[in-house]
Amino acid sequence: MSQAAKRVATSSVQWQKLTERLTASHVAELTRLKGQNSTFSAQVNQLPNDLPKIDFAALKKQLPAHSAILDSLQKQYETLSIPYGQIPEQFNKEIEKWVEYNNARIKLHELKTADGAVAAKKVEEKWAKAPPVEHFDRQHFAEYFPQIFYDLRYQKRIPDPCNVGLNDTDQLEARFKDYKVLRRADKVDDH
Amino acid sequence: MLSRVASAPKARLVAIIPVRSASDAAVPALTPEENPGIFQKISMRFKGTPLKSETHAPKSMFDDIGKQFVPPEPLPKVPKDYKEFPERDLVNFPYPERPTFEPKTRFLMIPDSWCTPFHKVTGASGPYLFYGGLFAFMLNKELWVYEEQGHMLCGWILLYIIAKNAYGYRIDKSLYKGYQERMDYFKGLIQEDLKEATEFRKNSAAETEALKAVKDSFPTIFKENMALQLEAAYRRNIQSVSTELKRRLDYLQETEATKQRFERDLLLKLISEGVQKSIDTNEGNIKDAYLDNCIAQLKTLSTK
Repeated sequence: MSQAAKRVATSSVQWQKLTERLTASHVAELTRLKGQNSTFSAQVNQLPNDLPKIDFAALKKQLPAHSAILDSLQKQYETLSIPYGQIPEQFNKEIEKWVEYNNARIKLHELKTADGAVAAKKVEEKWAKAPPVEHFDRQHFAEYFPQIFYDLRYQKRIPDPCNVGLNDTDQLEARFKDYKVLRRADKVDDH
Repeated sequence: MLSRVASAPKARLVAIIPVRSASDAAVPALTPEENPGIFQKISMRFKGTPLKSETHAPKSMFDDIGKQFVPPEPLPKVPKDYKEFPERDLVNFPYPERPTFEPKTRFLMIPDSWCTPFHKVTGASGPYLFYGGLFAFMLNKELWVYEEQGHMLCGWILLYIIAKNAYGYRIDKSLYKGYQERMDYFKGLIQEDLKEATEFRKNSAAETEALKAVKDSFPTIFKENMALQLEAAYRRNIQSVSTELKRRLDYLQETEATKQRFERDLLLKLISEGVQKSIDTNEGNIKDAYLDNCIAQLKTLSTK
């Protein structure tokens, strides 16, 4: 790995455009990252870019008594090299893991979109096929508004005069599916 | 002012007597339009015109006589080629559209389509004569016997006509309003369904776009953040190095400055003490010499 990684000082990301493109579910994450980016940028901008240039000759002229010390300082200063370092590999691996996770998320969303598109298409086709509501006949009401108009030819419904919602789910039917009335012990079938 | 009149000596006029004839006491005659009789009033009531002492006619059940309620919007048309299923035979079984008005009837009993074929043969009176004759024949030959309360039919029919004329318009209007509300409710349900579908499409497209943007940009952001942190650490190192060097150089400069300041102070003190001592001890008679110097200077100054 090369020692001299590219030095960054400003953000290369267009935050405004990105904010416009994202939906509400990604806003929190983006805000967090934007905050981090601004914090680090502020730190970077506050600190000096490079080592300052110091005129040792003038200092030696000014302080001739300490010229030996100044010489040694100059030598140290000019031979000094601060290592830039590099980002640990572990974090790059984290980024790759995140990329995999994101791809899986995208795939899931695509599947959901496909299913939903099928359902939406079904709904739109159903209503495109229907006649105008003013010209509905008796069977159309049960066909197109099954929540309101029920058809007892193929629906098992129990009376619900107070509109409690007994027919909305099949919970009652499932609960009492094998419900049998308690039989008397001495009741026999042969007579 | 009246005093002038009061002081008049001669009173020529004793009293003023107004004179009116008998004809002046009678009220001027009103025209028939201004003074309607009882029958004119009844007729005005039926017509709905307000009487003289009224601003508007009173509300009555006969206000709607002659009005027929017509729905403001016609029913939507079913397309001519509308088929519920592909194999539908539209020629023999056209789609049963709901008509706006019920089939026309004569006297509410005989359909119009049973009467119009007579027009070509017998003219306009044909259906009435035919059906009337049929009714009379069946009645006379006791083929159709109706019960003894049948005489009340006249009254019932009259009452029906009155009720229909009085309330028919209002009933039609309110029933149409109820029908419109029902249709609007159903249309609302349909719009909800369709809105759900379109909203789903829109939202999922936006989410796809957002995920794509995230996929493109977030890794860059992560890397950039880490690079910025690295840069900040590097710059912090630079700052600490330069601070340390600055401290050392400042120390050297400060020690040097302190030393020089001390030397200068010491030297000054030495010099001033020496001078003071020599003045005090009058070494070499400097006081006299100083005084002579001052006098000489003053002399030179005074001559200038």
